[in-house]
Parts: sequence; structure tokens; C-alpha cells
Amino acid sequence: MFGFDLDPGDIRPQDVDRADEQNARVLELLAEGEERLGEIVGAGGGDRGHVHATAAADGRVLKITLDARAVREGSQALADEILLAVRQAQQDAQRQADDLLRSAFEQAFPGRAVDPVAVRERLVNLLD
Amino acid sequence: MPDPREDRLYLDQVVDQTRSAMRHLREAQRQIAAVEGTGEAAQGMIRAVADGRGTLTGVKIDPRALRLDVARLGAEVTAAVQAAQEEAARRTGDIVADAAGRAGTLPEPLDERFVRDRVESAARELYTGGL
Repeated sequence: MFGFDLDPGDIRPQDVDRADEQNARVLELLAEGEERLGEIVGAGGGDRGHVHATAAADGRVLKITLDARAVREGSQALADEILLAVRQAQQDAQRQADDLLRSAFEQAFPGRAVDPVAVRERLVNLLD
Repeated sequence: MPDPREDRLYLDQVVDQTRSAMRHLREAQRQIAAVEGTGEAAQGMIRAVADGRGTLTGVKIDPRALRLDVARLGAEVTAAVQAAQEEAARRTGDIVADAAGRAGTLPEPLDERFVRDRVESAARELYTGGL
């Protein structure tokens, strides 16, 4: 899966070294990645721009702010706008997280393309 | 020397334990998909509902809440939404911890000795019995 091109019947010392190096690099990137993941802020503005929402990569809402015109269309319209803005913020955060994951993989395994969305979906369906 | 009948029993046990663990994990997945967390603010005038993955599934605002100034209203909405997500996360955490506990009894991986004994035994049978 990670493009080792190892021949199990003939593992050379340089293969082991290369595996060790990649392993160390992955661990480094995971630590760094985790930090950067925690700093991600996704933003969403609804479709009328009166509600502004921000969310972290794990989906947690950070802040929701309203402008003066947000209340003009009534409470139902406001509720819908809030739902939309939050969803957009979460999707934006997810996109940033996917980009981070993709670039981390590319650094750890150069030359191998990885689709984070596919990886995520496979993980979710693992138990099916 | 390894006994094929004991090995067969052991294998059956491994299969059963794994199936059981998978069943618990799938059940947990189902429960997580059904989790709902609710949050309130502004004396109940603002209510929010979130699912097990943190997705906001519902927001209800009492028209009286619109009398609040906009900055305060925003803060209250934020609080309700965060409370809903927190409750959903807590419920999901409980399900996961419970499932991990139940699924925890997965069989030990076969060690080198286990495998070597059986390979040697099979090799001996081949040389003495087969030809």
C-alpha cells in the first residue's frame, strides 16, 4: 500500500533503513500534523451573509456571530441561516483538514497520490 | 506436540470471539448514528440538536429571542449549539467506551513459537507419512 516495492524473500539492509526512515518521518509528520489540525478554523457565511460561523477540524463550532440584519426575516429564517452557516464552516474545516492530510502523505510517501476523501470513506465503512 | 483437535477448537474460539467483537462494534456504530445531543440557551428560547458526528441537525429560535441585542443573541446561539455538540460527543464517548470494553476480548495474535511448532509438526508428517 505504501509503495515499498519490497521483495519479502530478499529484504536487504538498505530496505530496512529506508523503512525505518519513512517510519520516523511519518511519526514526525503525525505529531506536526496533529498540531496544525488543531489550529484549523473553517468559516461559513450562510447564503445571505448575516450569519458568520467558524468551526474546528473536528466539527466543533467555535463561534457564531450575527449582524443587525440577521433578525429581519424572523426566527425561522434565522434558524435556517444558522444551520447553513455552521454546515459551511464545518465543510470548510474538513476541506482544510483533507488538504493537510494529503500534503502530509505526499511528504511521507513522495510520488504516491492519496485521496483523503476515499481514505476517510474506507475507514468509515471498515466495519460493514 | 500440537494436537489438531485442540487447534481446531482454538480456531473455532478465535472465529467466535472475532465475530462477537465485530458484532459489538457494528452495534456501536448503529448507536452512534442515532445519537442526539441537545443544547439550550437564553432561558430555553434557543434550542439546538446535534448528531453523533457533531453535525447540527436542528435549530429552534423563539421569536421573543429576537428582542435580544445582536451580540448577545449570537453568544446565546453559540452556547446552545456548543452545548448540543458537547452532549452528543459525551453520548458518543460513552458508547465507544462501552463497545471497546465489550470488544476488548479479541484473541491474542499467534506467536512465533505457536507457528513454528505447527510447521515443524506438519513437515515431519510430510516426510514420514506422505511418500
